[in-house]
Amino acid sequence: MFHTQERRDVRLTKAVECSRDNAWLGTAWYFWYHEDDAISWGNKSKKRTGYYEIYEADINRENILDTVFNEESYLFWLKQIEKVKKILLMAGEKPTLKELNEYFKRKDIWTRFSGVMFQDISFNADYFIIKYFQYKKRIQLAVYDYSIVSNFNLHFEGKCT
Amino acid sequence: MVDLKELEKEIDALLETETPETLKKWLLEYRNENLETYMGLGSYFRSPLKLETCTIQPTKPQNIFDSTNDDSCDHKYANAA
Repeated sequence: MFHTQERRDVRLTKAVECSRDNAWLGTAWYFWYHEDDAISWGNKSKKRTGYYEIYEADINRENILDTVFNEESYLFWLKQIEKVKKILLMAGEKPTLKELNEYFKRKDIWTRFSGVMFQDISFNADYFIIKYFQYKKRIQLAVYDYSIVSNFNLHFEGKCT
Repeated sequence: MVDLKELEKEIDALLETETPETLKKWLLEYRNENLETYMGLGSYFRSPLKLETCTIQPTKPQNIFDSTNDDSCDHKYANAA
């Protein structure tokens, strides 16, 4: 899988942990399933130095909550998120997806898994055959336990377009 | 492999101990703990959260980042405006 960062003076030897608001599976190391999504992300969001770096790594997904390809896991994840969301809505709060996931992480629920794999919608125009019809999943893995990551190496460097 | 059915029982037991008020408290504490904004090129990011007092009042924008689209996960700065 692939990890995107801006080019830095020193090559990374480990993925950078992310805790931004748009890291909606909570604080984790994020990897892309498809290389072209990693590149697209580099062009979109890693432009600070004018170049991005794509790293690749082997990831042991044996203990991943796979909400993308596993129906049971997806329905399980969805159900739990909805439970917490419902309670918070009763309290008059509108949580973000990140906040909901962080709750489960901090209560040592999601941390039973080495990570969570999920998909969202990409606006990468290369994926559209018919305008606005996204045919390809944009899949990410949020890794909570870094020991499942191995052979983390620079894949290539790209110039931001 | 995690037993999802067993885990769900644990989750339900956990949520039995929660009320809307306790979860709200958790959420607000989490938000306070993670208060962060990012400064763009030559401008300030206006957070929806209003600070009652702020002692930092720069007179002109400072270019900390090269790009307003910087998404580096290791750059986090407190709101200064």
